[in-house]
Amino acid sequence: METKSVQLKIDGQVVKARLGISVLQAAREAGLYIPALCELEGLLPGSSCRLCLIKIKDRPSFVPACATQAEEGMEVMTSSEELEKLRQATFELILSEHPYFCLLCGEKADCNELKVTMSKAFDPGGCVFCPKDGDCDLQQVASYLKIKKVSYKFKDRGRPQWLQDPFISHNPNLCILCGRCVSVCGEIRGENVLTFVNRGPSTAIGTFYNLPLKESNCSFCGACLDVCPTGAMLEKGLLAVRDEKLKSRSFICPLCGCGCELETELEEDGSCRRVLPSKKNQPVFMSGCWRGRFGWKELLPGSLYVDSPSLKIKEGREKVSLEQAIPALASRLKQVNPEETAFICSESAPVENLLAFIQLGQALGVENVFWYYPENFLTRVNEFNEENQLSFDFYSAGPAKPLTDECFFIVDSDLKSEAVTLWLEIKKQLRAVARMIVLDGGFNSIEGQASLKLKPLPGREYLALLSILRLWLDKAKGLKLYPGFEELKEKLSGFEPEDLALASGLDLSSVKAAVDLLAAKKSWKFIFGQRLLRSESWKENLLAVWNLSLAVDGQIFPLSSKINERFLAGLAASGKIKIIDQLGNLEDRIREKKIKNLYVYGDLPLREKPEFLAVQNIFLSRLGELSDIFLSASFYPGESGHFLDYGSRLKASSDRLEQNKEQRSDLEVFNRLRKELGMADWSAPEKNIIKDSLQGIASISGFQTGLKRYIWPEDMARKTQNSLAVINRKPAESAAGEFIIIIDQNLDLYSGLELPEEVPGYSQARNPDLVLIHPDEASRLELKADQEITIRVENKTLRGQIKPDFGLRPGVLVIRPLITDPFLLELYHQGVVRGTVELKNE
Amino acid sequence: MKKNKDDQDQKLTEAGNLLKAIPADRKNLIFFLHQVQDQLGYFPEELVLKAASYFSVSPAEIFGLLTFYSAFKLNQSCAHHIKVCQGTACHVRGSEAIGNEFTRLLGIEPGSYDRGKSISLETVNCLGCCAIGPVVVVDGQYQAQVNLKDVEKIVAGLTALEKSDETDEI
Repeated sequence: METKSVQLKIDGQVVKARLGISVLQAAREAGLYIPALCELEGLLPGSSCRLCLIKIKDRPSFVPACATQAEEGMEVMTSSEELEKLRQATFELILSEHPYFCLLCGEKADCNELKVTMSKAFDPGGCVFCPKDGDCDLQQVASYLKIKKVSYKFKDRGRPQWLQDPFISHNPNLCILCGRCVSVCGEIRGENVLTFVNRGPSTAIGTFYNLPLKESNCSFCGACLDVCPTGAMLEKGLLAVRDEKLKSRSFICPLCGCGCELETELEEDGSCRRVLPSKKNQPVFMSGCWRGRFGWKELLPGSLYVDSPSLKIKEGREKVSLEQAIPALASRLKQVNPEETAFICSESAPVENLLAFIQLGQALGVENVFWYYPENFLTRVNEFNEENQLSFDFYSAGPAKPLTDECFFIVDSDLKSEAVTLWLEIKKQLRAVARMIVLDGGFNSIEGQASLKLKPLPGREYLALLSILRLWLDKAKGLKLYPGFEELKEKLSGFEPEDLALASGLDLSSVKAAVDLLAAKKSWKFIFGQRLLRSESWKENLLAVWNLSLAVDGQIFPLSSKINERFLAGLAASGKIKIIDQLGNLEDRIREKKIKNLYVYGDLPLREKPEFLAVQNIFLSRLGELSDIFLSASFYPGESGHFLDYGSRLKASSDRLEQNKEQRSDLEVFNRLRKELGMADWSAPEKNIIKDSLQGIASISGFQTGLKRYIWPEDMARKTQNSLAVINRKPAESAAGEFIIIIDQNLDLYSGLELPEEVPGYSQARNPDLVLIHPDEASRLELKADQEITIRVENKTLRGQIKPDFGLRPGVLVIRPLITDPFLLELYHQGVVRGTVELKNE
Repeated sequence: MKKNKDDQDQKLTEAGNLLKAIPADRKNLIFFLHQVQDQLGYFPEELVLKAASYFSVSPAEIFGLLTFYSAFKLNQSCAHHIKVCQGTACHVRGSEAIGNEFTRLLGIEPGSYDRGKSISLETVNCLGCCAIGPVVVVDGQYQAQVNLKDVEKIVAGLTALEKSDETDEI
């Protein structure tokens, strides 16, 4: 589609602009500067600073350029004596409450020389301490206006700074109330944490009851820092840049399925000043999350420690060099019986490294080459695919291209934490015409922004979906008939929609609302998360989403929340690697001495040690402590290589970060092992080899290439009938503390590294022990926020801290433990369990 | 004391139940805020959270509204409430002196309440009935053309009421 354009004149210059953009944007794209403090590309126009006022020929009054659409034939004047006078007056008013000495200082010319001796404090107390110096929008406007004086006496608001939160600080005395942070927080990121509070002269940026950010459900995405035109919103601990040159390195963040490109700002000595989402393809606030930008800052070179290789000795561990560790491992690998050996990897390394590891195992004749994949998500999708002979290309049906005019049906996926970049794209669509339905029995931070939220009982999502499908088949006309339609319709007609709805924990009216919304809009995209397939009824759940998506002629997309998940699932589908999702079986085989040797690249919560254990990881994790040989892995963001994201997009981490001199890349380690073992060097495959690895599933290109037909296996009717029979009896009041517990995913466990434990900032913001509960339930059980409780599940206990939240369904608890032991893994695998809340002894 | 707490819980629950009669559309949010304000005299934190979840609006946004409009109170207000208009029309008719007189007699500044938390005093910018100024609103009753003597009467009346309230409770 060709985008229409208009032609206008700005200050006499002919400017061509895309239809629909503002005069300000058109001017900016043509390289013309109009001062603006509240507008920012990518944000909605605020029109609050009044600095971008312009004159348009034949229009009576001045208009803000940010909120005026560029039109054909428009003649714009951005500057005149009158306009500059207005701007000057407006700017002086803005400055009356913002320290302006740095803008007017007579010594400005010598500033760089003098201020080095003056900067001692961290807080911006004046120009010399302000990390925004040189990057400040006020400075830019001041130099444009050539401002010489401010007619008002500076008024210090004297408001207290926000210093109690991790990562983000706020100085209300530097705030010019432009509203960019409020806009980015709500409109762009969908966080809705920041707001304007009070009115008139006491207006300020605030939060809910002015609580600290960490008590306001802030996810610390940091977007407010990126948009603030002054130093009011500042990254904690960020120092002013003086005349030293900053170097920039980019890398792919492997902490979730998004694979955001991040950029590190390195100072001359190599220390990391800050980490920012890359602004190559979108505004800086349109990607990244706190894990990436603040987590890595604390982990990257400068503050990074990597544990050195070590060998197990009688008492404790002995540190050795790689030169000693590699031959030791090689000599062991030479002797092993491949049948008694297993190789296990995690997904968090570049695909080249993973392939090299897998192929090292295969070269040794080891059949048990595993990927530790407790979610077992895409592999289940694949199983379903094969079982029903769908040959459906689930994997490439993802949003590879920009989303347009689509509506979203989200099932059991908290997009904001599982795939924030996808969420930001969807949020963008929601600002236009898109609609969103969220069906989630657990905690979902985006459901407040849905047109409709449905909260079925966890594990009974399929009943809710079938109920919608049942009504839809009754009502909707002009259905595209895919094979199996008549049979499905007949089978489903045996169930009353109301029975299905009630059994799923919904009332019929909300099911009807969903059907109406589905009918009112077109192009539905069904996105489901790993949680949907981690419960006992995963097959039924998947079947229900599949059939419903076909019935409304929508697209379906499984959202993988881990990096390289698609890559490894692709290898698994083509039989190049096996999946290990539970450890019981492996531990049994270790005990029975059937597995004697284990080489782990990454981490897993194994407690049984085989005869010989080698671990290669960044950190000496718990498993590393057990190992006979620990090889330090290179720090993944420091490696060059490729990562495959949730949308099957291959992302390259090309810049290598300077690392510890002792450190070798993982590929180098594998090659030296191969050399010791008498094998040829492993060379990194071409890009298309990675694509080939995916061919086990489908080709990368194309949308919905597979066969489309409705699925209704023989036993489905019986299963549904059974679940109706159980629930049709009115549920008795549940016993005092009995709950359905959702074991949700926690992405803060990275390659065996418990981020909240290791990274100081994380530990302040993130508590993996939280137990989310509906406030009414909490008060019924007389539980208070932050209270320690224990939950009894299957004769074992979990500890946690109460966090009441209205986003929970009564009777449901949500916990997100770090999966660090076999019991938790067992629970995680079940997904939804029952348990009883017990108070800790007072 | 226990009885008071139960009463309070009861009131909160009732105010929460108001939601049931209001469609969950964000355009009804302000209406609900007014209803709670009328019924409870203030807007408690837990109701903000409940309303936020019900109307699918962020708690921060509601907090912004509550602090923007002076019609809403965040703290439990007193049994008796005096509003003194300080709008232009009332001002030129001497409302400043009237406000000062209330302050003198009650011993409290505008925007605060007396020791027993029984009477609160507040100044407002305009009540929209400038013709009858200076205007004072006592417990929702508009008093027209108030003079300093009237102030004394109002305070005396409220103090007497307060005493009888206390006897009621015993």
